Amino acid sequence: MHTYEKKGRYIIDFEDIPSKRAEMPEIAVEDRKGNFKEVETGFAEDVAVAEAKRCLSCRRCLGCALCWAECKPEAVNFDLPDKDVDLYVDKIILTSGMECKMARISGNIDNKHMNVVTDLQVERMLADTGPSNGLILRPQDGEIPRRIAFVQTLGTVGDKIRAATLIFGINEAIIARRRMDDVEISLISPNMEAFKTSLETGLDKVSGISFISGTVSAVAEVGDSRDIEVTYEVDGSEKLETFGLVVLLTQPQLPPYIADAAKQLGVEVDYSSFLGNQGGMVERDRAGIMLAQDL
Amino acid sequence: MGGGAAGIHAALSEAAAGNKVYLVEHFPSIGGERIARDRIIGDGDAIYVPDVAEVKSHKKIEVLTSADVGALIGENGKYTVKLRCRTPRVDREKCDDCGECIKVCPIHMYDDYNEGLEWRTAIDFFNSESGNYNIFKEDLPVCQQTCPINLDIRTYVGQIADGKFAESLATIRQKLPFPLSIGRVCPHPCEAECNRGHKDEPISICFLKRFVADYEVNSGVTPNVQLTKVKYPEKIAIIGGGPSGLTCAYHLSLFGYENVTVFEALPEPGGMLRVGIPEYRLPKEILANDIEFVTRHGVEIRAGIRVGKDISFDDIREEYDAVLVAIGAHKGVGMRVKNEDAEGVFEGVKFLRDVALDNEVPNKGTAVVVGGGNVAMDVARTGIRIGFNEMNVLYRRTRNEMPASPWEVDAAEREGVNFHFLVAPQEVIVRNGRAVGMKCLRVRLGDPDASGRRKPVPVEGSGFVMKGDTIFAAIGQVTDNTLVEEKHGFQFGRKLNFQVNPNTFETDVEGVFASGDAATGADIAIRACAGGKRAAESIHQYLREKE
Repeated sequence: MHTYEKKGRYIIDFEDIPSKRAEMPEIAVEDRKGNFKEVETGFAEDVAVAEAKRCLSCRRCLGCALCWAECKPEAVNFDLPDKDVDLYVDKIILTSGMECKMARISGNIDNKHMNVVTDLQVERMLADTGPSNGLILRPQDGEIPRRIAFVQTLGTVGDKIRAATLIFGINEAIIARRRMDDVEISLISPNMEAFKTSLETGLDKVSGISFISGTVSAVAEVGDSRDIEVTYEVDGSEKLETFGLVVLLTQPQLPPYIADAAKQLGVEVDYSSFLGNQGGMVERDRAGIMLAQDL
Repeated sequence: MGGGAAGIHAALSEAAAGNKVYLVEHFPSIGGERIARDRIIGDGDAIYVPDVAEVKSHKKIEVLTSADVGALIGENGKYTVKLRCRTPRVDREKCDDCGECIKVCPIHMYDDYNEGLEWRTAIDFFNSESGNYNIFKEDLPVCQQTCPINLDIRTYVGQIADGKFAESLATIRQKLPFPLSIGRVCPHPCEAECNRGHKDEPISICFLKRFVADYEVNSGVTPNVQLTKVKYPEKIAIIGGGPSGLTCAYHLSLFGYENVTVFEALPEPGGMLRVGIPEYRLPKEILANDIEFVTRHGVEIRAGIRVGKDISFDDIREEYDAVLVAIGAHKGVGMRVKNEDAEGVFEGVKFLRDVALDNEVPNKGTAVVVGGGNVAMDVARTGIRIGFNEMNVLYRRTRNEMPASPWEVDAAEREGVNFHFLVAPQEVIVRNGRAVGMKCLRVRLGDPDASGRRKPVPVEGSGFVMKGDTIFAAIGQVTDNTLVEEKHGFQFGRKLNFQVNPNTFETDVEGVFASGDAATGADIAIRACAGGKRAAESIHQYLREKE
């Protein structure tokens, strides 16, 4: 795992990432019949110490105060307290914020595959301030993938949110295509047909991206390349294709702090309340409560 | 509220209209994660870049970052917003943005702003456009926060890495008296949240705990018992010698209570750890070590005394100043199918208990296990060990929906247990007064129900018979609450569990507390321990306030 570390600002390589966790030794299956011998036999000392050393100590500030010693203007202050602020206002404008729920897909339990990323991660890669200078790179080897699939799965959220998610995905695909013009891009969604018909201009002007109306049923990692094999159904038949990178479109929802604020104000909103009137405002049922529409 | 692109856009237009604007952001920096843009499907470039610099310099806009909203009060265009801005630990007035702190910070952490795609330092400006320096320091690491009993995992794992095994074990025992047992049986929710899991695989936290505990046993060391000088005379009765009751007793003795008595109905203490978890997962003598550690703190365990039978609940109330009910959930739930009371049909939990107590159990021929939880796995794996030719597990959803821990299912399969998914039991087939099989229907998964799980729908005409000489029902447990009577005034939940205040574990009856499965319904051992610890704190508070 060197990709982003190499390109980052002040990066130290973690030589041991990725590495497998220690495996628990067990007695043989044949030795388990007719007795109640303990199956798992426990770590040896060296294994346990090595496993404990994998702990990142969660890489949070431990209060070592090196920065405090280094800071010439003496701005670092560990004892700086939290600040309570009361605001008296006439109007409260809520925005949607962004919390993206991972879509579940068979073969990618716990998002284990290195070359499966989320649309939000791709968004960061495409951002100028992001970790890879605006290019989409495979997390595994830091290379530009030759084939990318954007995948929208069946989800539990409503049509409006799914359509918005699809727009995020299509926008990302278009930007990726503009920046890396020899990359083959496919976009697979069960909503594709409905989406195309809802567009005034259609997707005709977009070139170099195949828009596929299909349902992805599984993803799997193949071989040493760790490319991703995508199984999907299109026109009633099952297809299998291999991609260098798969981008899963997530399902945006309101983060708890926005949902909670809306609840306290007594306005009923969900993520879709912030979609539609682009960049504008929508007044809610209570005076002085506005929703800033997503851009 | 919300400093992403939409919030910045709204703030700038409100400010342009001459209004004073507060831009409130939950994270340490404004700017958002999305590249905001209009639809670019139709034509050229229309990426909207939020003007962070203008927002920051605008006289009419005040940016409040790291803000948690406490309360929003008011109506009709007059609102009060109460905020708490978490400290950045960097005085932004003094900071001159030289970046030296970032160069020296030795901590390289998962960069949440960039969705984990790179690492950042613990002191950072989060988003390079905003330059809001901030030290990322939290109250609890995510593993500790996830652990029901909030074990200080980062410390004890770090101590193992340094070879300080005794210190590591002492860290664990500050909260948990059962490192040998929990280190073997815990389904470790902490590992699911471990940040290292974002990069490769989570730390093996649970087995590391087992390692330090085993290390002490293997080196023949008797652990130190350190009790406080403060002593309290009150008498406390703990009904139930399982993980919750014993953890409560342990913490009460650490507080200084010298008269803590545990009443255990079974001949041996340990509760579900003793009679629920089979020996191949947790050997008896290992558990005995953990329990001995508790008794060495002065806790008295009176085993073989069933409250409600050998001694009445009223007598206990009379004699003791406070009572904890921690009797677990040892009663199997019926399958609600025809003939389920026929000979040859057993409760899974009772079977496990009988095996653990060396009572006579069926062990020949073919058995059917109904259920998909860890009890079903324990029954199936035990059955394979004691002589059944074949163990067939029936579950009405698929492997993915099974509540059992996946490693238990894998182990059962390796040991030869057969699984039959999408099967719903209909009726126990009885011949000559004995069960000989289970009539079943195949089902498919329909739409999600209220719990979000997809509901099994029967497939018509798919009936078949699964032969079995013995049938085990392992579809859930409830509490046997017959030790108390209606006159005592307890309230019970759906699992016949004692209703308690979820923070203090107090029941509706003064001076009586309940914890563990008896209060929460069947749950994992570490949560029972956590409840016991919390109950000990509540009992301590209750007795001291009474004084």
